[in-house]
Parts: sequence; C-alpha cells; structure tokens
Amino acid sequence: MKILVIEDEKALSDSIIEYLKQEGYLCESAFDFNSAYNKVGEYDYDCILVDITLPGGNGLDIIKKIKKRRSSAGIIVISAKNSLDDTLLGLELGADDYISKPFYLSELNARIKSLLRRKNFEGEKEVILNEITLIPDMQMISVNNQQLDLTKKEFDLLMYFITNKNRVLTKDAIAEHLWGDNIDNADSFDFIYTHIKNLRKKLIEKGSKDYIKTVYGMGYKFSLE
Amino acid sequence: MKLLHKTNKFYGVAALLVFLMGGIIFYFALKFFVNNDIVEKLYEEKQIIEKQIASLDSIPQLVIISGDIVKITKVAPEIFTSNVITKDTIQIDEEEAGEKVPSRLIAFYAQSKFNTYQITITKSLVESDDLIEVIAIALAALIVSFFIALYFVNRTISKFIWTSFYESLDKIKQFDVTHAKQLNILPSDINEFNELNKSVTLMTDKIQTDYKNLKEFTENASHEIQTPLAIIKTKLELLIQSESLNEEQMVMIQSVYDATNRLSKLNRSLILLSKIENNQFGQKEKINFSEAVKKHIVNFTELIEAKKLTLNTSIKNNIIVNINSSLADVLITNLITNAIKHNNREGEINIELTDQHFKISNTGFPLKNNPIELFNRFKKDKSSGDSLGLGLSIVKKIVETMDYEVSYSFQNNRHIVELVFQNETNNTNQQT
Repeated sequence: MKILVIEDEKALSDSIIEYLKQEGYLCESAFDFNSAYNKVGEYDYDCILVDITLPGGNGLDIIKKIKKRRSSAGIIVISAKNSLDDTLLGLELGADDYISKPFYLSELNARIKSLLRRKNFEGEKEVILNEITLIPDMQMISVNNQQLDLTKKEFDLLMYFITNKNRVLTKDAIAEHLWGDNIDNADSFDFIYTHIKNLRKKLIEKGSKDYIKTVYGMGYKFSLE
Repeated sequence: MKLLHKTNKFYGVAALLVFLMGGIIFYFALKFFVNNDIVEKLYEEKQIIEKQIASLDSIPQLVIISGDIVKITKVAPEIFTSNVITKDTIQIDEEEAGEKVPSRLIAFYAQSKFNTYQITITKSLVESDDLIEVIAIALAALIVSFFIALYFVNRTISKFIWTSFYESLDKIKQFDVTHAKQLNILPSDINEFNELNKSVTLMTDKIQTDYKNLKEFTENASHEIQTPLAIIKTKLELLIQSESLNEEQMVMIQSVYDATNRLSKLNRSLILLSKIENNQFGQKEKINFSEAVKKHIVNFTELIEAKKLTLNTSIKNNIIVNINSSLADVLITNLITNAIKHNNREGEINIELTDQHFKISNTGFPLKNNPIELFNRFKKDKSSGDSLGLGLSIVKKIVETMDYEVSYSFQNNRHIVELVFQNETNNTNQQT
C-alpha cells in the first residue's frame, strides 16, 4: 500500500509518515504544491492525504488533477483551517473523506484503513485477527466462529482498537472517535472505562485472549504481543 | 422628559413671566395715560369756564359738559389764589340709588372784573375704568390664545424638525457592530444634526474597522495555532507508543497531552464560534429536527446509562427546522452533553420537542453564578469543573442564526434550556 502525504509542515508530515510506516505502508511526502502536483501526475498511490493550503497552490487543484487521471487512489483532505467550504468543495471534487487539524494519528489511521477497505471491495470485506473476525459493513463479529452480540459503540470501539493494534490509544482519541469532536466531556472517560470492561468481558466469554491492556494514565492498547 | 416638553415648559414659564410683568406695566401705563387724559380734559374745561367768566362776568349758565358736574360758587375776592387742586373723590349718584361713583375733580378760582368764583368740576371715572377693564380682558384672552397657539405651533415645528433626528436615532439603534452593514444616515437640512450624524458615522465606522481587525486577528491566531497544536499532538501520540517510558514519564506526558487536548478543543470551539458569527456555514436547509434529535439521543444512550440517569423523551415527529445541518448537530450535541454533564448521579433528563419549542431539562444543583451570564463566553458555573464554558455561547450563536430564542431557567431543582420556535405556522405547514 502506497500513501502520499501532501503536507507543508514538515514536523507534522514526519509524524504522520512515522505512524503510517509502522502500520506497514509505503509513504512518500510532498511539502509544496509543485512537487505534489508532479508526484500525483507520475505515480500511482493507494491513498493520498492532501492539505488544502500549500505553498505555491491550492490542494483542491491537486484533487482535480488526481481525478483527471482517473486514478483510483483514495483521497483524504486535511483541512488546515477547519474550513468547511474547502472541505465540502474537496468532497465535491471527489475526495473520499476529510479530517481537520489537529487530529489524532490513530484517527487518521482508522480513516485510511476504512477508506482502503471500501476502495478494495474485492475480498477484503472481513478483518481477521487471530480468533476474531469482523465484517465492518454488516457490523458483525465472531470469535472462534461464534457470533458475538455487541452494541454499536462496542463494535466501533473494537474496530478502532484492531485498526490501531499494538498502539497506545488515548482516552481522548477514543472519546472523539466514538462521540465526535463536539464532545467536551470528561465524563466520557468513565464510559470508555465501562465500555472497555464490557467489551473485554464479552470477548473473553467467547474464548478470545485478553488483548486489551490498560496503559497507566494514558489509555488502552490492543496488544498482540 | 421629552425635549419638546422641556422646551415648552421653559417657554411657558418665560412667557408667563413676561406677560405678567408686561400686563402689570401695561395696566398702570394705561391707567396713567387715561388719568392724564382726564386731567387734561378737566383743564380744558377749566379754561373754557375761565374764559366765559372773564368775558361775561357772570356765572356761565351754559357750561354744559357731558356727564360732568360743575359747581360754581361766588366767594369773597380775598380768598382768590391761582392754585389749582385736582384729586380723586367718590361721588354719590342720586339718580342711580346713591351708587358710589369714582370721580376726579378739579377745583380752582376764577375772577371776572367784579366777582370771584370757586369752581369745581367733577368728572366720573366709570367710563374710563370700564375701558381699562375691557382692554385688560381682551389682553388676557389674547395671551391665553397665544399660549395655546404657541403650544401647537411648537409641537408641529418640532415634529417636523426632529424627523431627521429620529430617523438617525432609529438607524443608530439598529446598528450592530457584528454586521458589516454601514450606518447609512441620510443628510438633514439642519446643520447641528448633520454634525451629529457625521460624528456618529465616523465613530461607528471606526468601531466597525476595529471590530473587524480584532475579529480577523482572533481568527488568524486561532487558525495559526492549529498547525503547531497538530504537531504537538501527533508527536505526543508517537512518543507514548515508546516502550521505554517509565511510569513517571508517562504521567508527565499525560499532563502535557491533556493540556494540549484542552487547548485544541478550546481553539476548535473558538473557530466554530467565529465561523458561526461570520456566517461561514453553508446554506440552511429544512431538516427533520425530530429525527436529528432522536439520532443524537441514541448516540448518547450509553453515556446516559453509565451515569444512571433516567431519560424521558417526548418528541413530536416531523418537526421541520430551517438550519444548517452541521450546526444542528452541534446544537443538539451541546445541549445533550450539557444535560448529562451538569446532572446529579441517578438524576433525570427530560427532552421535549413540540411545534412550539425544544426543551431540555435536567436535575442538578442551582447555579452559583448569574444565569444570564451562562450564554456568555467562558462564563461557566464555578461548580462545573474543567468544562470550557463555551458550550452555551455556541448554542446561543447557532440559535441566533435561526432567528429563534433560547432561554435558561431553574425550576424545581431542574436546569431548563428552552429553544422557542417563533414561526410555528411555518413548522406546521411543513408537516406532511
């Protein structure tokens, strides 16, 4: 899987690439409009992250260029200015998703995975992790071939964990993933605790290993080690 | 007190004083002149009588002067003096049943070759007094009608003159610094008003520019803060993945991370607020508010259950509201999270949606602060911990874009936030 990160802030671009490389993606970066424009013109990517405000041009033009090449690459807009107009325009031009700064890398990763899953509709409908099998489109999950009933939030939570396996997920990132970025609510941390407790219990009951570990103070980790 | 009443009052008092003084002076002057006139007439009569006596040397029988009483008595020549006496007396009029008549008399001596006479001429003052009275009454009537006329003329004039002033005042009242619309005051033909209008326009223009600059600065600052925040956040996220961190380091990173998140949420809320203020949200659309509310309630079910809250809902179907859909999401989420956050454990939340209003109430402790301030930025109740204090001001801003009203009250230990739909007919029309 090849991903192009078009982002003019080098420090941010580096963070994104480091996180994604650990997920096993091949990453390339472009820091300005021209190099980005050339890269999308010459190479094929599976996913392209586009910052709208770039030195030397507008990210929207890059989206146009990608679409003109009839590339099948998934496009995620990084809206720097939290600007809805640009984001909407980006989606109209054919971008698949958007994420606004500042974002969680785990959230970005989840968006990329979900996008790639939707793009490659051949085969990869299921997400299999040892004894756990998830079918995201149908919200179905089975452990050791036994169907498991999860609430929607529990399912989303597990999916988020599996997408970011072996990563520390902070409570804030989980809260925002589950309830959206309008939530300004320290209380939600209690529910995350409750949800995770329930989720663990349900998984273990069906014979799954106890993958979800508490990371002191920070959050949780779906650990395969 | 209105300006018109005030000026009228001053005019009235001044005019009253002037007329009073003038009236008194006029009265005495009139009296003086009439008296003079009478005395002059008496002297004239005296001359005629003297002439007659001198030429005829007899008591002039034919001295008939209308209305006057002439008494001529022969006296010894020794008493003769050339002194003349004039004085006011009272005459008893026998013809009119002894009525007392104010009169003036002149007494003098006249000599012929042989005789000396003492002569008094008495002239009734009744007629001249009557004259003065009539003049005084006429004058008083004139003054009263002058007052009445003055009042009405003044009122009409001031209405006419102040029209442009009131027009300007109306415009100034409607002036809103948050709108880019300039204060457009029409020129008046009165210099003072024009001066005033000019100063006000200058001032509002300045306020508008200042406001715009300040707003732009805040917006730019918020936007510029986003990128460094994004860098801090992502670097921290990478840092916590590191296996080599000990517990103490983890706790420190956690505090930095929490502070960064708080800052980033704050920044996001501020950007949201300024975007709402700048009308940067897309088109309003008719959305099914009932469905939106239900959707969000489902999203928060777990939160509500975890806090052991009882949720009562009464939601009328197919309530249509004209609002941008992203803003509707923010609005409903903010209200529901508020009701969860500021609730007691095992408390209650009531959500009611009807044609008339959208009402969310929840159990909780009374506020320590002034409820009116709740809708202001960064005004939060002291008891509400680490909340940002922006939730309700965002709600208020959104409601303003919808031209609805939002109010807060505390009744029966319940916080009630109510959003009143004004165009009810519009809603019912939209229902199918």
